[in-house]
Amino acid sequence: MIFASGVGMTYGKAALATRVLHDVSIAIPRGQLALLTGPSGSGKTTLISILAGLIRPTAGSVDVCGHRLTSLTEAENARVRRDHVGFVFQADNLFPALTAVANVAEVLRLRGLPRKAAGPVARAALARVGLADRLEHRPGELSGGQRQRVAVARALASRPSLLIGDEITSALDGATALEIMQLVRAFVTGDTAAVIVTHDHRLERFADRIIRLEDGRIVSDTSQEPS
Amino acid sequence: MIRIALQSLFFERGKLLAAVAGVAFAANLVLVQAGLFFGFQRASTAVITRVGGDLWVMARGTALVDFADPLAPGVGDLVRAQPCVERARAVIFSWASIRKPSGGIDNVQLIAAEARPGGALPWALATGLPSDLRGPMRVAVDAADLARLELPASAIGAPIELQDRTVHVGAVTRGIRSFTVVPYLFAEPHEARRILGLADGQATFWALDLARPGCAPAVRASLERHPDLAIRDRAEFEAMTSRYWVIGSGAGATLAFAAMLGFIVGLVVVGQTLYSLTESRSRELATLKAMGASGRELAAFVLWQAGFLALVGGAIGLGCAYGLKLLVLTIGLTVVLDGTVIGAGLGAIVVMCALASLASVRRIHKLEAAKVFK
Ligand SMILES: Nc1ncnc2c1ncn2[C@@H]1O[C@H](COP(=O)(O)OP(=O)(O)OP(=O)(O)O)[C@@H](O)[C@H]1O
Ligand SMILES: [Mg+2]
Repeated sequence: MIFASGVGMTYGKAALATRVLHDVSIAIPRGQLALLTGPSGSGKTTLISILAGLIRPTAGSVDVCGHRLTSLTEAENARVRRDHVGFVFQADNLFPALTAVANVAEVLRLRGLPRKAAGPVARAALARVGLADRLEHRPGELSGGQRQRVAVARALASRPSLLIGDEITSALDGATALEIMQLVRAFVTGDTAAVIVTHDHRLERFADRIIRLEDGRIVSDTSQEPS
Repeated sequence: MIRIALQSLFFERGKLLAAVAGVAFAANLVLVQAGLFFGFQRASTAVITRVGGDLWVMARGTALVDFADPLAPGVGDLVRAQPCVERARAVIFSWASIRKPSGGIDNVQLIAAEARPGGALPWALATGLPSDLRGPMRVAVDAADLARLELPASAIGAPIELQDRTVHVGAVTRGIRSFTVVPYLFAEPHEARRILGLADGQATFWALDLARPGCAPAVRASLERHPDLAIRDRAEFEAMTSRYWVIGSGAGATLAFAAMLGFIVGLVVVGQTLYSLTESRSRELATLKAMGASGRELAAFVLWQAGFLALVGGAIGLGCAYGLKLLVLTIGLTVVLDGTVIGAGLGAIVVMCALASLASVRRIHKLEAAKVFK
């Protein structure tokens, strides 16, 4: 699913250059839910941004779903993201003017689904995250946890192969965080994979693998049976 | 994207109202100013247009219809003798002075013309018939000028001291006003010559109806050999006259300035609104970009909003312009709202909204998808 080799990232130039990632190589196969942990500033966000094709590393290569992101153009990268990658963020980033179902459906439309199909698919995705009775609510009328579920539904509705998340539970209380993580766990099957950045140790039990980053280097990489 | 764009616009009611008001204001101002401009043009050339003809013969050096020396009495025969001239019609257009009952004097313009079929002067009568002017020393006065000329409200038959002669009001016109608001008095050509002391067959202009429009250059060339005569195409003469008044008086510039002001105010209001809508949704838009939306798809966020504002604001502005048109008609001003004015005015509004969206579109193009993780 993901194959990164010798990835290095340096922000800025000359005297201002900061090396953030050093020769990071990881392979994440299908069916794996990987957690990325590490202290603040260790380069976690930078790494997943590179894996998702949002930024281009200054060294190394990245392959996602058979596409070598590091040799594609901006537009081609966008195309890969659109077809294969779902995103969840710390904030829900939902359009406040749109209902839950419209927020999900409009992203499906951008991903190429015809209008007729987008509505039912969006409703089904929201039902899967337990919001069948909140379809017509706007973000302002939903709780933080419900909004994040809508964000998860939006990311997963188009059935991406890869889910990328950054601190997706850090704005939520413990119980709600676990619920969101359960949704992610349910998404990862034989065909799909997820890379989730977190500081929260309680989420570790959901993971197949825990990768720890420090100062831009992978310092530990352990596989486990999720419980 | 249309749904995201319009619902986001409607979600911020205050911004929506401000922007619609801005576009409506701009559209209204642009339309009314353009309409007044064409109204002034029409007013300044109304008599030429009404008299018609293919070519106009005038004294050499004449720059506009309002200031022209009378032609020599023989010119009528001269122009009628030209091949291809089907008819030559006398037009008398002259300044004259009036002594009012109170003793004061005022200037008027005395107008008479041999009409083409269906083109009788004057063309809009409030009281009386065109034939009422056939009696001796009869003139028509506009209803709006009665007070100024100290004439009674029921003016038919009232005497006027015109060029030291006594004439009588034979008919009252409605809404025939010059650009300069100097009163137009209409008479039969024969009576006008008597009042002005012109010889029989004398005229200020000759309007020529040609057998074929194609022979205009030949007729023109032939008559222009005469040292005292100038020949103009009718449309050309209309343009010269309206340019003299509407541009030369500064009225055109004033109207253009007001229209531009409306345009700029609208531009700023709409630009501000679109930008603040884009700015306040930049996180969500960056999210869509991360999810693979192209720059063009994201720009549609702004463009749909701009298009909606142009449409709704433009329609409201047009409605207001119609209202204003009726309102100013009551004070004798004409606002022309024909297809050209509406097309050009609404075209300007579309351009305005397009310009107003530029900054926001640039903002969207600069959005970095990677920023959504921050
Ligand atoms: N756009 C940027 N320009 C310059 N430096 C940057 C940029 N983005 C990140 N950095 C630097 O790269 C380093 C790693 O940042 P990153 O955001 O990847 O860390 P992180 O592990 O996600 O931290 P946190 O847990 O606090 O989110 C930091 O030192 C940061 O200052
Ligand atoms: Mg981070």
